[in-house]
Amino acid sequence: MKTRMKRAVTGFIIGLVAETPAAYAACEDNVDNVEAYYVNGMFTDFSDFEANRQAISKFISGYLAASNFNSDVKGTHNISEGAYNQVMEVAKQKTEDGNATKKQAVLEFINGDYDYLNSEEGVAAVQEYLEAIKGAYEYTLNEEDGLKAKQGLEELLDTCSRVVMITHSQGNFYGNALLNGVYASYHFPNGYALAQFPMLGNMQIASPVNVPGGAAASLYPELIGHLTNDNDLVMRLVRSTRGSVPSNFNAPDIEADKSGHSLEKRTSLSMVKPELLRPACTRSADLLNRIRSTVKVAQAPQPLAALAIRLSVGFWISVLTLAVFTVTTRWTIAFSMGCRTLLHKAPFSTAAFVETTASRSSNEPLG
Amino acid sequence: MISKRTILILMCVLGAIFSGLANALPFSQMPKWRPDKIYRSGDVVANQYDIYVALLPSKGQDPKTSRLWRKARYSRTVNYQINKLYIPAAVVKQGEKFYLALHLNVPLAPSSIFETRHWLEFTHPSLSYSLPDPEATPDNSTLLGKDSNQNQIRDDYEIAVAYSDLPPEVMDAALTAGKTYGQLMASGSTTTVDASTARTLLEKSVRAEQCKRQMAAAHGGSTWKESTFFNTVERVQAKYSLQNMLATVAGDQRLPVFDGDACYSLTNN
Repeated sequence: MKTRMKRAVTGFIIGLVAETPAAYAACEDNVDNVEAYYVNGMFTDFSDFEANRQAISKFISGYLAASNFNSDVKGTHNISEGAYNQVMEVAKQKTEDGNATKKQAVLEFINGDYDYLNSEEGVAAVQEYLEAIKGAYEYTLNEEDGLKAKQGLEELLDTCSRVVMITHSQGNFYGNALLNGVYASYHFPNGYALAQFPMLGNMQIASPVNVPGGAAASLYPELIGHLTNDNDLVMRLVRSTRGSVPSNFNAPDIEADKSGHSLEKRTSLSMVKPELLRPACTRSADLLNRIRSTVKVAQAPQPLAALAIRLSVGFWISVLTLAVFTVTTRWTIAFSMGCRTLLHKAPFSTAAFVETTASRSSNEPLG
Repeated sequence: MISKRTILILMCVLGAIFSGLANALPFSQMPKWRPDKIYRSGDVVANQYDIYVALLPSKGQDPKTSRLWRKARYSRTVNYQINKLYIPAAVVKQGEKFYLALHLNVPLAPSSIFETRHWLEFTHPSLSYSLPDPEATPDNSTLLGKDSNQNQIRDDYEIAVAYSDLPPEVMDAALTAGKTYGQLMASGSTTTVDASTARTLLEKSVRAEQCKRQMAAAHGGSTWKESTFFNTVERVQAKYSLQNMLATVAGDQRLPVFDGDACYSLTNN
């Protein structure tokens, strides 16, 4: 019996020693890959969540095909059950007490429709409703959703890929909490802390938070991107109810989304013709390579900044799609500015990460 | 040289063709009746769910109750015939098109139907759909509501969509989506849902959402509102919780990215 156990333990140790460097080597191979992780906002049912996730996937495969972005977008459906029950209770009260216009406005808001924005009474009713649910709206990490999302992010980080968390609307409260939570505790399979090799970023879209990224924003400012349209009417309402970060994008009005708030429609993920963008993306990828080779810096684009720049540029492009002749110029300018930012601000080099990972994995395998 | 007669015939033919190409006036775009307006005989107005033709001049006479107006007879549609007397508000069908008689008249030629003084090409929801009674009180006390014509679309939603000003393509998609919403609601009263059924229903719900967005993108923002179907807080709650339940039953596997025509897929699967 003892002999059998000894054999088993020896076999396990040999297996571990033999397997670990290979596993780390595979892990290192992913270091320049970028994974996207989507977290939705409140009043987003599963079908909305899934349609958004698929729209981001299509956006990546359509416009960022030349990059290392994986178009298979992962994510967690933020149900926020506790908060959800509270906001529905308040909705019940509001629809029972209010007149037909008020009732309709609240029903539209919780269904993700926006016709209420066309009437002052409707807007006032939603503002009143938002004021009443303020506490629940700011509710951050529901235990179950939070654990699921944290686990999802950590599984991606375990592959040594860079991860960009895309958070929308109320999901940005969630994004802040997740970002700080994961930075505080996560260690790569080789034992290094995420804080040492910051491979997780957060792109906040239509953000109602005060400081996108929260505390992590002061430590890794280049890892946090934020994009809120100046014509996002829902965010305007939220901002008037609670202090939120100001809008930072001068967006045109899009007929398909009069609210300026929808993730897919507003960011035009589905409305721009890929064939118009692909040449511009390819040209910009070439430009990036030229800049890299010129300055001879072996640095990979840092993920969030890359996404922030590319997405915001993507928005610009989508906005300017009708004026094709201006697209290339503006995109190239923006991208070249972005490239300079990447080269100067990247917090660590890929080479350094690979080197330390390799030496650590061969010398000190961690069990 | 072309004779005067040939030119005249040519003009008549072209006139008939072009007047035939004129678009039908949809119910949603018909002028609404106003009590302060003076109406002449042959004027047409929409009032709630119906179309009325003025028999005589009037002002402030409610078409619903006044004898100076006659309701369009779309429930008694007949095929267009020449040499036949048509009374005002009669509805005739020629080919796939519907025409409303504005005055008492006897058409003498097939092309007489294009005389806009006597006839108005129009559309009305009840000409295309077998609609439930629009005046019936909706049942909002239950999640499922009432489906009196048993076409799997809840009556009040069906009426709201059919009488809306949505483009026909969007209207059709909205009604199909209504069936999916209804199936989602019905899943709440099913005792057990297996993983495969849950996944199918979830995929249909996602497709309905994608179709809604597709229509908005294609029609300058014109699409249906979910609040028309989920029109009580209880129904909204059920939408959220039933989708969450289906996602749990279906398992953690992600749905594949759908890259086709969402509305086509919704209608045909």
